[in-house]
Amino acid sequence: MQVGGGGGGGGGDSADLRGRHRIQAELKKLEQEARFLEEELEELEKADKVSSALQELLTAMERKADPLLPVSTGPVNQSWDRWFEGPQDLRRCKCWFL
Amino acid sequence: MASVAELKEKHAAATASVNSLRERLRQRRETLLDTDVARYSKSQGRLPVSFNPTDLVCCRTLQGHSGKVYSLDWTPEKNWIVSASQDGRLIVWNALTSQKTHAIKLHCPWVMTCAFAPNGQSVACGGLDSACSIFNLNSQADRDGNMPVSRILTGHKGYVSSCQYVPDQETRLITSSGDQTCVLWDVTTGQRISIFGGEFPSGHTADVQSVSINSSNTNMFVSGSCDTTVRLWDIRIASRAVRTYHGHEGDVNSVKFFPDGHRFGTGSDDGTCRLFDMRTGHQLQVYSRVPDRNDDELPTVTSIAFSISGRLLFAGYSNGDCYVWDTLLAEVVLNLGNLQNSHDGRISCLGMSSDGSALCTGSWDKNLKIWAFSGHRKIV
Repeated sequence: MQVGGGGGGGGGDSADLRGRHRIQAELKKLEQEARFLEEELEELEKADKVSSALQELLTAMERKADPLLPVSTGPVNQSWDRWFEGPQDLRRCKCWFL
Repeated sequence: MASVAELKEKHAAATASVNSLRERLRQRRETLLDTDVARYSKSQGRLPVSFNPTDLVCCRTLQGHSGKVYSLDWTPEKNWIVSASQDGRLIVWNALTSQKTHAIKLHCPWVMTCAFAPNGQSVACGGLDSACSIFNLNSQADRDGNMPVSRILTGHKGYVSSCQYVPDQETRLITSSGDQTCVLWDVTTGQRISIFGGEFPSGHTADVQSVSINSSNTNMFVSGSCDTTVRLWDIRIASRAVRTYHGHEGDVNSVKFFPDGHRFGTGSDDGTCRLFDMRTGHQLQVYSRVPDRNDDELPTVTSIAFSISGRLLFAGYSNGDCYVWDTLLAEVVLNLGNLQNSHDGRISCLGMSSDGSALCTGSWDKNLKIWAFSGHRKIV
């Protein structure tokens, strides 16, 4: 993504002033943006390669019990299967319009 | 005072400098991308998740809306769901019994999003009225059966696309909006605590479509936008985004933190889901569907959700598909849209129950469905 070019001033003095204010504001934004990008680049210089973070991802994922998986680590919670038991709460519907 | 010509010169130099830094960042990132999740997992001997045809089944259909369902959210503790629909109502469901406990007629029917408070006592919703309305579920309905609004959060200058309560904090809520900002609210006072983006640099430059708060560190949240980026925010520092994540080539419609809080997933108009590393900003994986003969154009991703371990990524598409991706192998292992008793229309929203035992899908067919695992579970 490229940053677009700045706008130019108009004809008269007031247009010149408006143009100056606008360019100054854009300049300030760009300078701030450059600072943020430099910080990010600095951080990235110290960052590890993607592969180094992936072992941790696999380990964390496989340590966690998952009720939606056919093969999962334990412990099993009996309440996971509550969706296949009969309705447990048959209190009257409190809804007014139905 | 510098002349306009001098300022223009400085502006051109600053523009060049920003573009050069962006290019250096891109190149540096490329050198660090030595693999992706799928290639790494294969190299570690991982095999794809394999489902039998009746493993994941629709075990409840929640019927009651008379319009398309646009949004849903579970309570953290109970089996309750709130849904928002084109019919201008919120319905609170007991998902276990399929019964409705509340039906809330909205003053502004153009609702787009809804959320349950962490204690399950209130719900919030927002939409084209540019406001977020809070309803206390213990309030008494008036003579016409309408539930009074307990608080209206006003201040956005565009539609409210998404809202989420800060986990464990009934009084804090984050909204995203078509006005390119996100806002942290104090629900008790109705005050805006912080605005993220807008006039500040490093904010989104188009409508914000979705937010997701990191449940491991509730000071951090991500926002997805029509400017094709995702931004990470620290709620203590509103003046700038902590990081911007590039990669998508279309609107980012859905963002969702990965269960471990170190990564997050995205779904986009470009038809892909992606997994990003929050800290380094690396794009860890792209989940791209193979173009189908029936696809006139590439279906867009409307909503995503992770299973509780993160191994499954559920993605709803504009053509009615709901793919179950194996997050590790980047393979589609199931399509809920094709299963028996599935929806008849686009799946517009997805939500995982807090214990991970059930997925709820909301659809343009006016229904919500609960999906759970009914097969033989092998514990290793």
